[in-house]
Amino acid sequence: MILLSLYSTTRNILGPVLNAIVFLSVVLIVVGSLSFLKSRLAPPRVGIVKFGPQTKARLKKAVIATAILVLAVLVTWYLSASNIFLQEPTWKRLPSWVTEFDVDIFFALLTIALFSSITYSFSVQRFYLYGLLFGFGMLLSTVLRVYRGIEFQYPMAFAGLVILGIGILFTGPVHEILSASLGGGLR
Amino acid sequence: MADIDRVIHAPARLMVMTYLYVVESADFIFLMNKTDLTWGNLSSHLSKLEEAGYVEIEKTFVKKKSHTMVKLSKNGRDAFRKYKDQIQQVLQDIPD
Repeated sequence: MILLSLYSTTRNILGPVLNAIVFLSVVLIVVGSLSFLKSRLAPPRVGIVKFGPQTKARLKKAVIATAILVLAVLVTWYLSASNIFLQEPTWKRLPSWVTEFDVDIFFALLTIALFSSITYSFSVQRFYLYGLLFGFGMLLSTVLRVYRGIEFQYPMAFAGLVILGIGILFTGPVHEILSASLGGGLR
Repeated sequence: MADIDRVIHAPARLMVMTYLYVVESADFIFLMNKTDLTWGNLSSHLSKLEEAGYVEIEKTFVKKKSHTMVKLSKNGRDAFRKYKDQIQQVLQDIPD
């Protein structure tokens, strides 16, 4: 998320080709380093569990909901790419705030719905927060672009930093140290 | 209260039964991590549950390492459901 939010800025500085090379190199280095570390470190054994019928049913519902959302995204992309939204008389009948933000609101809602579906199926509450951060981040990016002419994706960088912060605080060695010092209070 | 199932009622076995009730099956490591029981302790409790016919234990070898999967039997699931209803009833009947 943070890399993606920096993409538009670095492209202005480096140019599209060099930027793409640098961007892909950074991604490859990160993925390569993680794969190398994974092969070198033995992860703690957490065990195997097979889901019960209720969880399976939940996952099935979530998969169906996600498939519908993905389909909705594809349809919206197609409609926006083929300018159907801009054709008369649909465009004139829509309120101005819809025409100003066109499909961005729709994408924001879809993102929130997608993450809500993940939260529902895995019962991990922080995915709600991720969905809200991504969803409103997209919307805020558009607001900044429309009203301020700012292309830099600050809200998405902020969302990425919050998610990274949550990851550091709630998993890994930092979490162990904090939990120990707070008497197991950080969960 | 007298006819409460004492095989399930022991705290360690209650934990094991509760975890197994909500899943289809789980392995020994998962149960150990979740219940904080030691290897020997968990093994002993699982043996008691197996003797009572409440769990089914399947031992296999994966990459030359022993792997133990545990699941609730039909009897175990019924017994746990009955135990749950009984405890709920007992707690409801306690006056404030």
